[in-house]
Amino acid sequence: MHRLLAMGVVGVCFGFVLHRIGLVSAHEIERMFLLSDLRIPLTLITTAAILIPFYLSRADQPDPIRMLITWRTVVGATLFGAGWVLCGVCPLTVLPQIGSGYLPGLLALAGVCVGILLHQGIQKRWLPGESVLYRD
Amino acid sequence: MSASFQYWPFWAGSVALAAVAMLYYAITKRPIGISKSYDRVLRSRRPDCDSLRMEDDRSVREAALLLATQADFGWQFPSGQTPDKEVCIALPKLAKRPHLRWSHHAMLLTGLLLGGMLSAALGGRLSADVLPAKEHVHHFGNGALSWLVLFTGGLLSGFGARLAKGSESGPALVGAHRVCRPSVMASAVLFAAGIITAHLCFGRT
Repeated sequence: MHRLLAMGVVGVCFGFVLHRIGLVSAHEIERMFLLSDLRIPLTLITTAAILIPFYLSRADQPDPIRMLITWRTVVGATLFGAGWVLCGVCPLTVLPQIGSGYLPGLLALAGVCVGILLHQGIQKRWLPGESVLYRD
Repeated sequence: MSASFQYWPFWAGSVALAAVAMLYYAITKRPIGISKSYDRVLRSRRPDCDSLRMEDDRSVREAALLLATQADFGWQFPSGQTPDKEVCIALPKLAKRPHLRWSHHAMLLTGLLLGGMLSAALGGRLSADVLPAKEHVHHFGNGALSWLVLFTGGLLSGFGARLAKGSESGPALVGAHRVCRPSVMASAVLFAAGIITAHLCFGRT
């Protein structure tokens, strides 16, 4: 029960921060990818500078299967980047965007859900050996 | 959201994002990953049940222990190969991670929604916008194309996120920070694809 509440608190904090740094704004995302405003990339890079020592100090993450670079990494990231630009949001930012009152985001959320369900179907049918990577 | 909204400066956003990632890690012993939560919430079957059966299989347990120990010492699994399915299942248990249920993932996603709502309310920007943003309308018009692009963009990002094993909360916010090669690669590719797409779609308008 405590963990359930804690997850809710993390979600609220995450959504709050994402909204405040502008990652839920399609306008800011467009400016970021057009390289006309580097505030968000700078935010992500600075976050990396803070988190790299934190994660490297954690030795309890034995996950060697995630070290494989496959065609899925490249194709998936390409589709993801293109989709993020087109609708201005990604699976992470669409929820706080809807929460802030931007209702067209519901259509993007529907797209995200369909995309994930599509992937589940494809994975189950054609990539069954890799399904284990997603157990969590 | 209006472009005139006063966003946090990069340093404040960085500290806040890092704090959220650390908080998530402290609770779950996992790096944060939102597309994984979507996948779990949308998955009808219960994959967690399988992991309970490995407790009785001594060989699997030993193989997973060996793999985990080797990983701690920097050994990487040979390119193109993956450990046995049972060993993969055993690894998270060996890391002594708390079990996350469907409800945990659902609560995280609900929290994200409420967090955006809270921020907009405190910033005096909470309002119901029914029409797409003016920038989106400027590029794609006010007709069916505009809505189709919204849906298709969401579909591509959702599908791509799972195919690449994570949305930007995974590779860009967490994976690259763990100096994990696929995450660094995924971050680079997604930003390159985004920049190219943005210049193709919006560059001349």
